[in-house]
Amino acid sequence: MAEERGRLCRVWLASSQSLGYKARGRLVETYGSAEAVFDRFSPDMLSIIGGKAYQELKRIRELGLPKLALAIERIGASVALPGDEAYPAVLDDIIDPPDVLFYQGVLYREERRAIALVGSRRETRYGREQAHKIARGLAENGVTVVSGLARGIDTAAHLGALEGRGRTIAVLGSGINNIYPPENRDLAERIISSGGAVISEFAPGAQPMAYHFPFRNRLVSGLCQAVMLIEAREKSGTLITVGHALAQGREVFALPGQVDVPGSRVPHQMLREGARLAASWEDILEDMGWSGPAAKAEQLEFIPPDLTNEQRRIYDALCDEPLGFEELADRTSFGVMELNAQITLMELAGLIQALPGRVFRRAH
Amino acid sequence: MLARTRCFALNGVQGEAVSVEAYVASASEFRFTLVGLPDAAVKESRDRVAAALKNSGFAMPLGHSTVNLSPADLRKEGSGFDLAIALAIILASRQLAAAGVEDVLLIGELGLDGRLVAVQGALAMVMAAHAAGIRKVILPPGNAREVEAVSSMAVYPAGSLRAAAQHLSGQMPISAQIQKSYEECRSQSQSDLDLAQVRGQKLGRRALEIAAAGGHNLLLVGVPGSGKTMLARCLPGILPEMSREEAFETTRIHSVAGLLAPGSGIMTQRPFRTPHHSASMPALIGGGANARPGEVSLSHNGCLFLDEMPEYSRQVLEALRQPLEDGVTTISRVKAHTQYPSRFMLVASMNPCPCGFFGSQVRPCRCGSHEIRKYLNRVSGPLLDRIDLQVEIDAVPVEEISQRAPQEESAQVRRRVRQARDIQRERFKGSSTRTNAGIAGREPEKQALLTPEAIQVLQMAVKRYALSMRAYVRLIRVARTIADLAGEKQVPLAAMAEAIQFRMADAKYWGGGHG
Repeated sequence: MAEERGRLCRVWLASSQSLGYKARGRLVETYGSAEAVFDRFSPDMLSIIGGKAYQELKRIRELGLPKLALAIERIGASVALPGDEAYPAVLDDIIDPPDVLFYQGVLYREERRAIALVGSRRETRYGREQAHKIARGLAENGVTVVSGLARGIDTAAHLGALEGRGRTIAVLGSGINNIYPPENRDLAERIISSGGAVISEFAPGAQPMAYHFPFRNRLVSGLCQAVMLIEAREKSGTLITVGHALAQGREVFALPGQVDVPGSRVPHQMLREGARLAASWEDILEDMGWSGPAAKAEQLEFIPPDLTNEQRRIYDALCDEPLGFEELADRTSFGVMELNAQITLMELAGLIQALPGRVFRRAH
Repeated sequence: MLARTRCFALNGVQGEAVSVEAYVASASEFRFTLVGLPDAAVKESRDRVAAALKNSGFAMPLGHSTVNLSPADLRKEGSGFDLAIALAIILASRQLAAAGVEDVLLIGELGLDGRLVAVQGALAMVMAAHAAGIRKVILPPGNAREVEAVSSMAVYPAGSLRAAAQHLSGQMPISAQIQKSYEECRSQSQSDLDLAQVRGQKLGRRALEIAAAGGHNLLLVGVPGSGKTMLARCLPGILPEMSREEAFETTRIHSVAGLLAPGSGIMTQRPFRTPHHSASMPALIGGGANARPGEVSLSHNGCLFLDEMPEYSRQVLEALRQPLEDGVTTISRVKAHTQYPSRFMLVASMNPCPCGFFGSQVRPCRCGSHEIRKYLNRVSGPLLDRIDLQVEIDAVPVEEISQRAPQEESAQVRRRVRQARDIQRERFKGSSTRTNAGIAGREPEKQALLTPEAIQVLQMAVKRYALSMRAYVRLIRVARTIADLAGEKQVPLAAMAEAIQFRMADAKYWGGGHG
């Protein structure tokens, strides 16, 4: 019971949005423990913490610890403290491990293999597709994909992992119940319901403040054995993640991109400075020494199913490369009406796939 | 004595009968009053009339001249009353004797020298007068051709006040203009762009044909330079010719808006309006202090082309929804409350992303997904829901433009479109629906006569692409038109399968799908 009270006191300290992590550390150091801070809470502490944080802590303290526990339960979150079964052991080794982790979903003490996929929020189509593909391949091979739930590459990575029916973890830069960006709320739900986790070290309700993200990034790399960089512009927050990864002794991979695209500059710079080049999920598995025989078994030759003669003509025309509508019409010598109808039927049957710009390719 | 002449005032595109009464009372001093809710331009008429009378060999009568425009509570705008006022004064002051003046519609603005100047909205006035039983009209020569297709109307073009007066008194009758039937007016020259000039673009041509056949709104998505605008401009050339009623409706609106050049005849070509993307709400929808018709009304019975649709202001685009739905625009202003017909086909074009090259095989796109989403979101879902046909078109490589064989001419396509429209007219006989684009309401599947196979593939597509109910109805409409073009009684599987292809634009760009 006493231990439970000590835990809740730590959660109490972590629940103040205005209390910075350094001030919190000083407070605990001065008084010996979070419980001591709670018990001896007085205006004396104003010399260590700001007035705003003081008022906030005072308000929560007056509500009482049981109410605090209930409030966290109400928003559907759980709490993990260092040493808990749900507190990833890898975080014990990093500098500034979070004192309290709020999370939804499932967390393990010993996370299996995990890779962080990080990149630009202003990604190109190429970057998005590759992130999706790599995340999917990793997930299919039992690797947990960790990312930050941001727009762009992060979103693609989470989606890819979900499509690969694997586990994925999103590390937030805002409160656990305050998903940002808002359009990714559904995605967060899917991550949780598919056996992954959404985690945050910030107080519930905290806004996504700009200064949260660089700090948050140490967890993204900290949770993984390696970080994979896909597209980043100069001065990108992604660079901070890479910096953390190096400090934490994690492997760094980078995906090469087109040389004249701004998002390729940082990955290429990383490659020149010694990051590992990864062009596919297989590269990552191989370099990490994770490619067992299990990984290979999945690759089956795709055998085209029964096709009508007309469909065979279209399918054959698409053997080498994707084709635009006009070209496809020329090569198959179908009329527009006929070709349109056949394309629909083949798309619905999952044989071919339409890309933006009315370009078609075989589905795999 | 008292004299009365006839003219018509405009309320929107409707003409309202106005009778001009003049009374000259003998008095020692000169006075000229004009009453009956005239606006500024009508008030100025006093000075023009006085000068024109003098310069036409008449005189402004001594004493009190009072002119009343009746009904007195109807607002009167413009300069078209000059002739009626001048003649009423001449008659009231006994400077001229004429019988039967009250049976003649008088239209025209006066110059100070007494010449007659063309006015706006002459056709609307003449049509209203015709409906009111008036069979004679004197108007400026510049307005004569505009009304030449109005049957059983004696049109006397008069160059000056004097000519009009002498005609009425019988001193020097003007010979009536020879009226033409609408068919004679319909000029043979077609729109200057012909589909034969469009190279490649098989899919775009097909979409254009379906749009024309079913009256569907059309969205063309493609990289810059892919020929979206050229395709769109070909649309009027493949739409069926305007009927007599349509031509009158359209000409009337253009006449009221002052867009008919003096001396031009009835419009026989469907209008193709291309407002610039900086167009304001009143410019597009109609408005201003006097509630003028906007572009949506000017494109009545024709096409409204919005090039680069996301560049238009969001507010303006949203305002299109009501005319698209109702076919009329209601404009309310403090001084006026007017309805303008606005049944038009919306043709819009846009790039797939801000840089224009998303999905291009030639150049890579440099936009982030967020930028693309922001750009596409400028066009709202509800507006897109009203665009039945959405098609992505490829750029034709320059080296191929010269190589590709010339294709079908507009005239051939128009023939098929006309046949499909005939089928639809038969189908919708007795209902307010005119084309397949109007299919709505309960059980659209039954209205459109879908075969079981077509329903099956439609349901598969709905599931696969997570289509909304509105999207579902749109597919049925387009499939019905495709079947009509093929002369099929029921909608076969192939027609539905083809229709599904014309929805891909939003499935990929707006569906939020990944990749």
